[in-house]
Amino acid sequence: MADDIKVWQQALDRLAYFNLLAIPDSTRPNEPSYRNGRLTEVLFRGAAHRFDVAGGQLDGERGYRTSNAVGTEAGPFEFRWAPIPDDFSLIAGRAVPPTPFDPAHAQRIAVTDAEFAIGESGHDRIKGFGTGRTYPIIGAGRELTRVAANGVITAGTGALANGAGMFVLSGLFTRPDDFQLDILVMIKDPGALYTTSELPAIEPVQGLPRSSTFLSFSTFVPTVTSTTIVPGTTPAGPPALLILSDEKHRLCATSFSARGAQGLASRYRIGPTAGEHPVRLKFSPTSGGGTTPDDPSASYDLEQFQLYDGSKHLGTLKVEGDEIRAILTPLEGLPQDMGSQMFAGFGPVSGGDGTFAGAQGFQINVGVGTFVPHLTSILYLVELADPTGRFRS
Amino acid sequence: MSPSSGQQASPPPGLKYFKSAVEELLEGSVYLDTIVTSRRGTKNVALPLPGSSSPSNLTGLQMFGQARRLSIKTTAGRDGLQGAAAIGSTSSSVSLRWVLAPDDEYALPDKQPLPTLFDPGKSQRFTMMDFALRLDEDGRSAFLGFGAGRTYPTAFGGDTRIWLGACGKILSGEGVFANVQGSFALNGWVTPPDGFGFEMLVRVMDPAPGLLAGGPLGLKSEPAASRGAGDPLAGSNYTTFLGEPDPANPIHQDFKPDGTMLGATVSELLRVVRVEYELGNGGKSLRAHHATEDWIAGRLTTKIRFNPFDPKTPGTPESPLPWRTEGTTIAFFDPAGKEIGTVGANVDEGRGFLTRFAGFPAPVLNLVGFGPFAGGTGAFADSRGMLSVNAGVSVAPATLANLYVLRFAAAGGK
Repeated sequence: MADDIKVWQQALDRLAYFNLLAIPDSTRPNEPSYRNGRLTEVLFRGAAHRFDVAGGQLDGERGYRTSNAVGTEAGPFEFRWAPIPDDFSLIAGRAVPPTPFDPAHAQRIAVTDAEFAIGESGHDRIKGFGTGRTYPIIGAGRELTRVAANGVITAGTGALANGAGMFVLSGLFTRPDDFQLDILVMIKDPGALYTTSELPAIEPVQGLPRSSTFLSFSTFVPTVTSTTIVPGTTPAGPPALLILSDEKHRLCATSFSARGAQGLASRYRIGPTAGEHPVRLKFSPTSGGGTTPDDPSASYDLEQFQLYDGSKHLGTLKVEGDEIRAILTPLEGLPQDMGSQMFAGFGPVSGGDGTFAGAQGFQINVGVGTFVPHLTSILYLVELADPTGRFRS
Repeated sequence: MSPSSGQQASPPPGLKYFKSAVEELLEGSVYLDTIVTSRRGTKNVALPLPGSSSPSNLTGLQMFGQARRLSIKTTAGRDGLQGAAAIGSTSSSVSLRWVLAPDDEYALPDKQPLPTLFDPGKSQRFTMMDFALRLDEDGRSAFLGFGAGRTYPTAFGGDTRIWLGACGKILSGEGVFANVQGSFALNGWVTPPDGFGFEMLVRVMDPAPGLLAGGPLGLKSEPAASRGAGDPLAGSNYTTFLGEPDPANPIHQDFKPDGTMLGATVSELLRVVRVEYELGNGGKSLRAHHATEDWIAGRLTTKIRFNPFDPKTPGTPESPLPWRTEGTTIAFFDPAGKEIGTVGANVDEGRGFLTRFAGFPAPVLNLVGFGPFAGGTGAFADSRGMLSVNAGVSVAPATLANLYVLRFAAAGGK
């Protein structure tokens, strides 16, 4: 079994990630829509830049350090953002009921007609849809809100024509047309999109205001006994109610470019194990069955990233998974009866200790895994407020 | 049958326990009073809004404090109340994540509040996440807790400060705090990013045997004037009182016509209390002592508003029992029994926690809360300040033992 797990983990880890920093393009501003004078929808438009997150460095003295770089390499993107009622089930192609944006309260949102071009040619695109929520910034006036959403890829073009996977996005939005969003796209079974070769060096964008540092972690489950599944039922009948898992996490780095000879390629490097990643996941009472993109299973959880440099505990980062969406899907190299699936989620950072004392931020994650045995390979990007460069190398 | 207005909730039939037994349990609480200020050599960490390029968008602080033992000897005179403070060493530390929160936030230990920007001109709610008190330098006796509070921007006597009141629950502990049930209340001020000073009263409801000492521990009082610059109590005059039932005015439980409990109308007698504690045996043991004086220093009348029978708020750390008070007035007396003035001070925000004692069938509530003064008369006509309370309350039989801290702001920082 141990050998099988090693092989399965290698299959799970073979993923292509495209991390994008989406910012406005003054030639294509957002298009807000109003009903009775109240904002009900925004067509987000802008430029999605290559956004590299380097592997973290562990240091007993300085804790955790990493580097981020936003490149000039960029393609256009757009999606429709609209508040939706709490009980609305989003189905591909189904109209969204106009719902006024309430900047003072958290709201569910729909992300529809999403189309992201990855790389500057504009040919390599994915399309998709999803849902998420707003996180109002209380006291900032009526203009500033964090938005977060996850979704599924429904189609692609160019090098992404056969791309299947998910995406997740998060960032601050000052309505109607200022924003800075991180969009993380994952392609499962990536074929030629996955490379271990060096990519063309990033050409950093100059003068982009940034006060956050993004940290990256990749999860895995070390043994079949690491997970306890507490059976239960929900109205939709997912197979489990509670998953308690003593996962681990690894340092990792993600980068991509379309400027190389091989065209669009992603380089996702997984490094050494860096610590424990305990997860306590509950299925939402309104969860779907997870069999189709229109009926994803939904869950939420509390997680920790405990970081070690050798045997020295550097700190613990606590994060919440407010909305985790999963869809059953076959994965190359894995038996079908393992219940393979892809996930995407997001939620706030809820503190930490040691090197992460006072950590404040937001996490997004997307990856793949199996149900039985419980295995995962999920990339987490954790955005931490970092005005003093505490986490930057 | 629903209890009618004024009727006390009955104990379950067949159980034998008596008011005196409950009072004995409440009297057995251990109190630790400390004054917490900025930790020398360790600055707080500002928590800006993630993703924002504006450093002024502050959402909270990671606070690092040093805690000193505090013991107050309260006296009364013609001019009002005076608290003579004895302050101990600085081997204890406090850390917490002070996170601003929306007014309607349902605060939970593992739930990050919606991002809320600090506004120094506005009273705001906050949560205290990852709250840790380490009594000794090695952290062998320590607890983790969680709580919530509120800021009160205040201008008084030429001094402008943001006062804070807060209360929380011990979630887990080690050493002398292992497996205890208890809570804490904070009463002080904060000036982001680095300035703060607050009194913190911890109450352990069910101390392990041997934690109570038999007599005074000897922390000496010193007048504020002798502490000079850097005095952690500068601008504040803290006084401490232990509230007990008023035999002349029994607790009267209040119910709505439909039988739902509204709370209770309470009259308490306040005695001056002096609280002391001492960590011994290399941080492994705690001796604590509290002593009241014979004279009745005050009478507090209030209407507590809470419903301990609401299943939605059973008094667990995740679902504390919300409570507040209405119409609270404290009349103070000198040792000769002459009234010297009154202070009004309601509990703005309180959290109640169910406490169970081994071998005792009825639950007891540990209520913690705070609120600013709302006017006064006599010697307190111009007083400003903040009340915090760490209460032990039994609903059936109805009795209480409540430790009050009143912080009187000293005009001009004197």
